[in-house]
Amino acid sequence: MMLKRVSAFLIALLTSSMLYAATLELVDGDTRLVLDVDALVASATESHVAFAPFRKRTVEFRGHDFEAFLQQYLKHKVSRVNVTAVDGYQVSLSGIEGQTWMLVTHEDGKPLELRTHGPLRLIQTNIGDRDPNNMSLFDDWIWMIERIEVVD
Amino acid sequence: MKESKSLINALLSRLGNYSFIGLAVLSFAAATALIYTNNQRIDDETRAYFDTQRGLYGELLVDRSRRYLVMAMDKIVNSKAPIAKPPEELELAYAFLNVGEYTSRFDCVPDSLAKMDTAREALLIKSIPNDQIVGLLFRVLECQQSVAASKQSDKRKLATEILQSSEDGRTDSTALIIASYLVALFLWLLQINHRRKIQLANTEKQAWEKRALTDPLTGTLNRAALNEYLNAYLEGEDRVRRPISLLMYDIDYFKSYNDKFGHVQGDQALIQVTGAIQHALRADDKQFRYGGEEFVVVTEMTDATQLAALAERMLNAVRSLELAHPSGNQGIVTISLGVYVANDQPYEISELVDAVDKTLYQAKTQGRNRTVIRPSARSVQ
Repeated sequence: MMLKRVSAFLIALLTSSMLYAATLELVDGDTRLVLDVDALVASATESHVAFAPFRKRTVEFRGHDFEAFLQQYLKHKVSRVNVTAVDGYQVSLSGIEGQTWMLVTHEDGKPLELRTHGPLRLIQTNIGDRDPNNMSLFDDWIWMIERIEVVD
Repeated sequence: MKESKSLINALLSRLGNYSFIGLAVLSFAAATALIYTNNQRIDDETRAYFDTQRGLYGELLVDRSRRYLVMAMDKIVNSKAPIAKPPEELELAYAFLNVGEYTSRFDCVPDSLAKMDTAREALLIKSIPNDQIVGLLFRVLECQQSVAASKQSDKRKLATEILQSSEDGRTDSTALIIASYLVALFLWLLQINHRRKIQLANTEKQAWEKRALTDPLTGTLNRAALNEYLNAYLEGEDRVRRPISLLMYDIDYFKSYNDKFGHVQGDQALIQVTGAIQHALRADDKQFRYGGEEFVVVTEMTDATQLAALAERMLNAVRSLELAHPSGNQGIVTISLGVYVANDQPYEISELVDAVDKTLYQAKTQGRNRTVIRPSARSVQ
């Protein structure tokens, strides 16, 4: 019994972020930045509480204001990006400015893992009149982000 | 009921002849708008649920989870050497099944997530053989298949509902189009009926007016018609542009004719005389019965020579009948005729009639069976 608990502890230590590549590639023309996800997790300060369409419950999100995040690393305002997930899923986002996008790193205080749709995800803090129970209306809330490319 | 009918008639008259076309066009426009709105609604619903452009629902999350699980199982089964770490596909399979809608709705999902946790743990610490791990993951695969089947069933149900909604919408649209056709047809029939009634009323009115202005015995116009005609003529401006002449005649010694042959034959003589006179007139000339055996002809002819010729034709027309009249001139029925040319000075009806009556009187005093024309005062025998 004791041995089982120790193994569970060890497994918890070896989280997916440790098992799998945990970097974010940020591309802007010729500029290519590779950011350490752990650093992004550690520096996340923005917080937002809302009903999560993919959880079907209210969740406390933590992360970065996406618009400010891009400006911080790329030193200019960005309005259009292509975002790619670990599994190859891609979305193209336009009108970043003023659309309240948030780069999420935590759910209910826990850092996101691959299995919880992390380590990085995008959500919107203002969903307008969309029904949060209808998942199909949030298919641009991309999970498992590994690459962001500016297409301005 | 009567009030509402007259209200509809008034409305139709006010709307004019093309009112039914306008209302029909409005009906069609309403039907088209409804069809467009209905189609738009269905399109939006369809797009929301069957959007294949953006990927997520083109392939259900559970299908993606199943695809990654199969890939993970394949890696585990085909691995000759011990696996250093659990395949990333196992994590992806977990992630795509770890969705609130699945965990809250399908009992097997939380259990499957736990099984995948166990498999990962076993791969990390190599506690159980790979084939047993794969056996464990087969249970997860079964769960995924049941979730996928259920979601597909949801999709089919939704598709059926949308199709049904589309069918209902189409039925509504068809009903509306038929209704608009019927409304247009009804309005058209109402319009036709309304027109027919007006035409009938006008025809009846004209017939009644004709009867009121016609002498029932001779068929000529009557005295009321003469008054109406002269009144319209004198009040109108036509008189200045278009002078007229009045010819008044009566049958000579008609009282003795009646005394001799009786009133029935007297009436026949009146019919024959007026008929003969009518033949002598031009198409535009009008013949009125002034009273008894006195008649007035109104013509636009004003030239004395032409009037004399017309008067002569009238006298000869009656003579040619050769109606026997023992007390008459030459033993036949004749007429005396007075002609008066109305120039453009102002007249009253009574003045005109009095003037022509005087010329007739002159013709009689001068021996009858003749014409007297004023103002030339020239007599023609």
